[in-house]
Amino acid sequence: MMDYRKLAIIGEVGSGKTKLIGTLSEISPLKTEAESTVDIGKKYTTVGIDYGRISLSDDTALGLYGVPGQERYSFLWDFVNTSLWGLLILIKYGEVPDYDNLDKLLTFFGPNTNQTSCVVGVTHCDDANGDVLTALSQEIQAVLGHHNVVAPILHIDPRDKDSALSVLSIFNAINNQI
Amino acid sequence: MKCVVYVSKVVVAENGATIPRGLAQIFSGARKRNAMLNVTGVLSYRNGYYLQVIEGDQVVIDKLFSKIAVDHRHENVEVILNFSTSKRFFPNWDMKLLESVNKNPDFLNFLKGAASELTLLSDHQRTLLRRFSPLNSRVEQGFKAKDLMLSAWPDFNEFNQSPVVIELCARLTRRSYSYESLRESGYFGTEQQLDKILTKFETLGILKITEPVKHVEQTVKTEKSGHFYSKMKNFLGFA
Repeated sequence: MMDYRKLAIIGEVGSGKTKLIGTLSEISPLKTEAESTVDIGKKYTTVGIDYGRISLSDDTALGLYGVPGQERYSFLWDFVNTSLWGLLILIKYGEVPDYDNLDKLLTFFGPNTNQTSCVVGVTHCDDANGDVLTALSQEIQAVLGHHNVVAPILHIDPRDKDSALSVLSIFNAINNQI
Repeated sequence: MKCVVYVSKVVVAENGATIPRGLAQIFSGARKRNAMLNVTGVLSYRNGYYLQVIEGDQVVIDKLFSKIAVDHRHENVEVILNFSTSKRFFPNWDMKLLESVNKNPDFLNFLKGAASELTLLSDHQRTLLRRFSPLNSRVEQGFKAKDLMLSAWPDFNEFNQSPVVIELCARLTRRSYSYESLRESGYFGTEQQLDKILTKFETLGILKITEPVKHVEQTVKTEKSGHFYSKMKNFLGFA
């Protein structure tokens, strides 16, 4: 029987979900992008689920599901919230995160109560100031703490394979603990 | 020239969360503004409270603090110290964000330099300052015969992201482990190396240290999940 797990990758517009799945997936990712109606610094944005896959062996695979972080897409959150191997929340550096929405997301997925491994990835950090990154981490940490979620906050580059794989490595380490 | 130190509270959100909302923007803004005003100082956030030190020309500091005091992003602004000084304590920082003031040598020097002013603090002011200062440090009790768990992962801006640290953080993410089981596992270096990492976690305020409870060996890691772990590890090793 196939051992199949899901990694949910959730983030706001432009946080790097589609790019990360493209970097990790062995198959051409199924994208559900549409032309953006507002200026978000890029032409297309995800309006549904992006899907990718990593085969670990003939009978073992990890599905990569990129889902918009806005609450209006919460029906898609439902879709991925089973057999979760991990929940990766992407936050774009340089913008004030929507903490009310992050709060709703953490309430919905309940990483603490469901024992779901959670990682927060801060993207677009190329030219970031170290102290500003620390400040952002403290903000995010406070939200995680409110939900009793113990999770690493990493700076990741969705375009870079090593960076993307390091996220998987951390999920694997957390999931291996009993 | 003068120096003002204040402590304020984060505005509590509707859901009861104390989030330092916009801290990154506050810090960035303060740094630019201070550079223009020739103001220096530090900012720190801890468990729902801000601590800020600002120093510079007397008129400039008074005007700046009067603006800070009415900023809607914080509340209960209370002045801890307000004194004249002939020199700056943080001459190189337009504004420095300190995650832990109690391990910063410049802040410790500041406390020494302001020692006479600190003796005049009321009990209430001392209590506020203890939220941040080394006055609050736990008497070193060691970790032996204690259970340990993380309340948060360390900030990797400030902490070396080594494989051993990652593995230890992963271990302490979901439940507590006895110190002895960590030491005897051999995964985390020598006892001294393990103690060094745990002490850093404790200094950062992210280590929960509790009295030991008898751990019933859990069988959460089923054969199936172990299988997935091994396959993923293998994949990551060759990717």
